[in-house]
Amino acid sequence: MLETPNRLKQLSDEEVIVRYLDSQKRVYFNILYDRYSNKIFAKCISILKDETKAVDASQEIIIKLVTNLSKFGGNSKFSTWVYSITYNYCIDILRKTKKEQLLFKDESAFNENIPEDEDDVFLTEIMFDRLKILIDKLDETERALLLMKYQDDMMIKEISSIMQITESAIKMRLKRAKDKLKKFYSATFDD
Amino acid sequence: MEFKNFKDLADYEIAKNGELPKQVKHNVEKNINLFSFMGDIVDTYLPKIISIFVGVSGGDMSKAEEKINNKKKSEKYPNQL
Repeated sequence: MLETPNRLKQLSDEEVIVRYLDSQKRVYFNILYDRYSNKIFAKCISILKDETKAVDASQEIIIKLVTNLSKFGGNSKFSTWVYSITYNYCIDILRKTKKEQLLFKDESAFNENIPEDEDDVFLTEIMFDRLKILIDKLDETERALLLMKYQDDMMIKEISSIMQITESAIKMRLKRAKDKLKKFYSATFDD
Repeated sequence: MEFKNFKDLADYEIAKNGELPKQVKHNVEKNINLFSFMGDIVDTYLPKIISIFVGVSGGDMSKAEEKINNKKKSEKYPNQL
């Protein structure tokens, strides 16, 4: 049965995926591509900070997504799955370009009891224009961590599996990133 | 807790960076079609190669082919555009 363009636009991601896997029709691929390609690209640029690398990474990520669509179990939102693969890929690139031990040294010995939402009120109160400036001052990993947690609402467990370090190490790194952001805030803005 | 500033940042980045170059979509489609073509080749020739091996080693070629065909029917096709 043919679906009108309006009806196609209203389909949820999950409905598009089912139709694509059943029919293999290009129209369904196009919907997913239009919905996510620019978001993936923007995410790659904000982590990698290099447009050429971000274009290449986006291409590889989209191929990976399409060829693994049948593995999307529907346990999480499709967007979360897409962003996990995006972060995973970008973090891998960072790993290859930097020394792994510097990027992800073992922090398993850190205190397990770091509260996850410490300083979150401060984060919510930063004006968007200021956040834009401050987040660029962080290094790639810190930036990626904050984006995963506060932009894409990922759980510590999900972030931990992407970064391949323990949950307590993620909490520690999040705390450090937030502390750094606070420090940059005081140094950059008067109030 | 609502992190509206972070969500706004995502929208800003998307607007600032614009669209992915058109060539990317073309490359993605080319790659997926290639995977699909390779899948078709494997689907077409693998049963024949296996049945030849079965035949050479003294087994019943028709039964082997039938088994492979039955298995294939129950599997999903690989992604293709």
